[in-house]
Amino acid sequence: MTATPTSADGRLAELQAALPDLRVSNHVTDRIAYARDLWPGGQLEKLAGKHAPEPPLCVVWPKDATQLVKLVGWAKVSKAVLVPFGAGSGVCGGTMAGTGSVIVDLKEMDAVVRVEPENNLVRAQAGIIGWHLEDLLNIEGLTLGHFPSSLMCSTLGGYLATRSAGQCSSLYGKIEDMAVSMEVVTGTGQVFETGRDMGGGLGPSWTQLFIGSEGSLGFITEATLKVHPVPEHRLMQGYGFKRVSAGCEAIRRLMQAGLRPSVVRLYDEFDTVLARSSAEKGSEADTLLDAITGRVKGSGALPWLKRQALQIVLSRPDLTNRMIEELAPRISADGCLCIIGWEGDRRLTEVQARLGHDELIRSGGKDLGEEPGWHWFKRRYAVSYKQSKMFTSGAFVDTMEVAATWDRLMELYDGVRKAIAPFAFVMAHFSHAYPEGCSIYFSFAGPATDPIEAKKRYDRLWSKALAAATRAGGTISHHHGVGRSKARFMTEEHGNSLRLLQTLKSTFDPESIMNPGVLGLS
Amino acid sequence: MSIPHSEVTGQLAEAVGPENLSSSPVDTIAHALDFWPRALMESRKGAWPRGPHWVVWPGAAAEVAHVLRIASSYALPVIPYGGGSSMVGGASPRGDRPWIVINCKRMCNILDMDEVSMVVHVQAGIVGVELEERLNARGFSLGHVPTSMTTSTLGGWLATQSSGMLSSRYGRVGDLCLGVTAVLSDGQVLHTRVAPRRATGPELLHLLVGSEGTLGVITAAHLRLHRLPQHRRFDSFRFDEVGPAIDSLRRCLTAGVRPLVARIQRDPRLRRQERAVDAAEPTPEELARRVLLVAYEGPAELVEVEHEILRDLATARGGEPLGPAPARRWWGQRFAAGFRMTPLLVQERVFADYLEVGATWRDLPVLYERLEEAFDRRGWRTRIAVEHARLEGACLGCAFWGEAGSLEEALESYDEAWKLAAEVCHANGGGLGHVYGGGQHRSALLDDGAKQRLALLTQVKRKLDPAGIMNPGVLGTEP
Repeated sequence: MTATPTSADGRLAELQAALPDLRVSNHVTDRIAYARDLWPGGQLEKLAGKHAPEPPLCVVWPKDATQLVKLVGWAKVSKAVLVPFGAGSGVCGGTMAGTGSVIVDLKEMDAVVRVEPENNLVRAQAGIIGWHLEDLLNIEGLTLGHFPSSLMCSTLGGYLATRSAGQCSSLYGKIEDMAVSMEVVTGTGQVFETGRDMGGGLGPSWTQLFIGSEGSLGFITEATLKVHPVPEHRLMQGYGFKRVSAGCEAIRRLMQAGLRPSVVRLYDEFDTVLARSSAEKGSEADTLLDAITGRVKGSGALPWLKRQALQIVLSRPDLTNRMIEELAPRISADGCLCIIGWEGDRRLTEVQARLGHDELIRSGGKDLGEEPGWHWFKRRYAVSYKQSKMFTSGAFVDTMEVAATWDRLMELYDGVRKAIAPFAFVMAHFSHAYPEGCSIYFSFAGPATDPIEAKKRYDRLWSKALAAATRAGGTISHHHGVGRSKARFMTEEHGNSLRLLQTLKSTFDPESIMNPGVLGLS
Repeated sequence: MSIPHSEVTGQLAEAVGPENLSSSPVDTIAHALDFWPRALMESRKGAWPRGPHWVVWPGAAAEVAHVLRIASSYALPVIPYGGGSSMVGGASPRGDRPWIVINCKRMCNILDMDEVSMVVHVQAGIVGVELEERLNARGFSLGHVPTSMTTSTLGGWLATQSSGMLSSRYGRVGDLCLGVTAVLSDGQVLHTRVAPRRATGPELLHLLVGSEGTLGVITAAHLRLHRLPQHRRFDSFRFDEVGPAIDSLRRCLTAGVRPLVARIQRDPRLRRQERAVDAAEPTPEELARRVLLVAYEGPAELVEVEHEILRDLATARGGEPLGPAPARRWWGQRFAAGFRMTPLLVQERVFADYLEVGATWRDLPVLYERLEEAFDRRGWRTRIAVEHARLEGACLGCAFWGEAGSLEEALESYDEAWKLAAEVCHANGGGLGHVYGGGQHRSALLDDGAKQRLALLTQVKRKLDPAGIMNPGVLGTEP
């Protein structure tokens, strides 16, 4: 070896010598493409000209757990940092390269290991894309029931690592309810199975303790998950509520009545306008853009005008927010839109839909028919792909998903909304409802003509909003995760129980080679 | 290090108040054992069991913390104690150091009840039945009903990840838990924060749930509640053999039905106590028969549909509808079953225990058969029921007993029976310790994968309990 061990070339040569069969790239395109996930704060940095935080040493594509064990062994010796990578669609800076880091793309480990229809289980490797897994299950007449809007650009390993939740979580549960056991490779290089096929067993559940670990304890390489028959029946229905608080109360009663809808969504006044807008071809972000700019008809023909209109509206977000609040009742005649879906066995679906309908009408809901529900259903994956359009139009957009028990939910809604309002135009919907509470999904857009100023504004917005969420007794993330973007709020979030997480880290990754920086762990 | 007993006594008295501390034999003997049948058999030898040197009854987490700091400074083992109804031997440490039992039952208050969110905040020393009754009085239920409910405590349930008879609908106790307060060995009082759900790292309460006192003492928890049901319905079916009964139940759960109770067991009318005095002995065909007992609860119309779905599945597989009576009868006696074994355990030459093993649906019928065969061949009796059914499988609850020539031989047979059970389970996809936890007993019988998982607990324990005082020796931790 001619290069010095400290140089990048030398380290790369060492890695290749240690793992000759491992596919490696240090091409600049790969190093930049893999340097970040889809954290909007990172997009703003990009606009400001900073393409990658610190380009990684290289990107590797392991084929199996054995290669990962060797990779961990190499990283320990050469003090390298390993960053697990699924499909890069995280929005919290959970995958971010650092100096000398190695991005470990798991997508070559993408096999369905076995399907066990009689046990309602599937075993799959972590690198499989959610959409592919669902497709392969559908062929067998099965479904995982996990439908995040990123389904086409996220992996099973990513779901498990970030504690993902899909759009039908009320019926099929969140990823932690689906996973029965996982194979993991820890930061010490140990391979182990976290549980049994028929869960249970003794001692703390390592399955539950590795779910949500965001790559900080090790790699998740395979998982056994519960599956269900493809639903034989599906019903969707829209309801209108005069105020968002009345809609929340109705959802609470629905969830506490012992019914299990597949989809529960309630849009606040402004989000209702977006959700109901009839842009069949469009995506949510297109409509957001249109809505904010007062539907300036100019797409293609007058992009400049659209851009100017956006700037005018976003330059005074506090005013815009207040105006919307005043106008809200007039914007949408039916009030706040609520979408409820039911699916599964035909008889169970029909009876639950009937009981649920009665409950929602008793709670003051106005029956809006099936159309609004199917309208949402058709566009349910559209949202994830159109962010960049907003950024190139000179605005930043982001989302924040918080949650609280019902007794604190309205306080959480008002608190976070007020915290965001001075900085960005904000709207929200409620989804992922539980008998004990609900999550709130805020979408917001702010001006970003000057990316450097915008990033400062963006950071202040997040600090204020997260502080408001913890002050109201809510959690700072319902299903996007923490990554690096919310890491500094982990103490407020967990209090002194954070010690347990630090203990897990020092047990499974004592040398801190696994994705340091996420979850506030260094 | 020699132990300055009186010094420790003085400090403990200061921590919990002298009235909440005892070294009297009445108390130390009462806290010497749990309900592990082998230890109870040993006690037939007539010797007093070795007990703790101190029993304390702290009234709050801060007092628990104080006790743990004292125990740490003298490196004294500490056993958190609830109802003492564990069946797996977790109440007495090995080794010869005197130990402290922390009896949690004075911490038995409901701290807060949020009826809007249906969440209760309650101290861990409360006895199960008392908690349930207090919730019932306000129109709610926890939905966690282990057979031991009249003796066991919430803290015991959480520490052992208890599974109750309504687990098919409401899950294990960890599924009902939204947050815990626990005291670690250095006296730090930790609170995991409550949210309906969060994605802010691993759900940390899962490190404490199921840890059997090896990492800390759970002193309080936030729990999800359910409304008392509007409607409850029972139903029963008789099958000629166990296979089609298992298949019907599996398909019913696959369809999305959530029964309150679903169990497959021998026809209760064949029990000697149930038969007429002059009735003929049951035929082999009668003995092969199984009944599927089921209950549903919730909105009446939904219950009706769930009932129809299973009825259609069961009758299509040869199940003969028996109507609600057999299931209702089982429900009426649901707490008695747990205590049927007790009379056996005081007989001189008898051994008995209860084995619980989880398996996926595919493995379940074979495991059932092999287990029954293996015990039959040795002339030992079994009663196997399919319980705790869920989407991917169920648990076999197997009561076994036998008679030997002497107490010594009975103890030997007891150990042999467990060795045999472990072999059959390992060879046929069964997972031991599905319901009762590990204690000192089950942990030694595990397969390699399960042992590897417990070894990780030992690693975590070294960090959170460096002096090794917290319930040492259970779950494969260092004694």
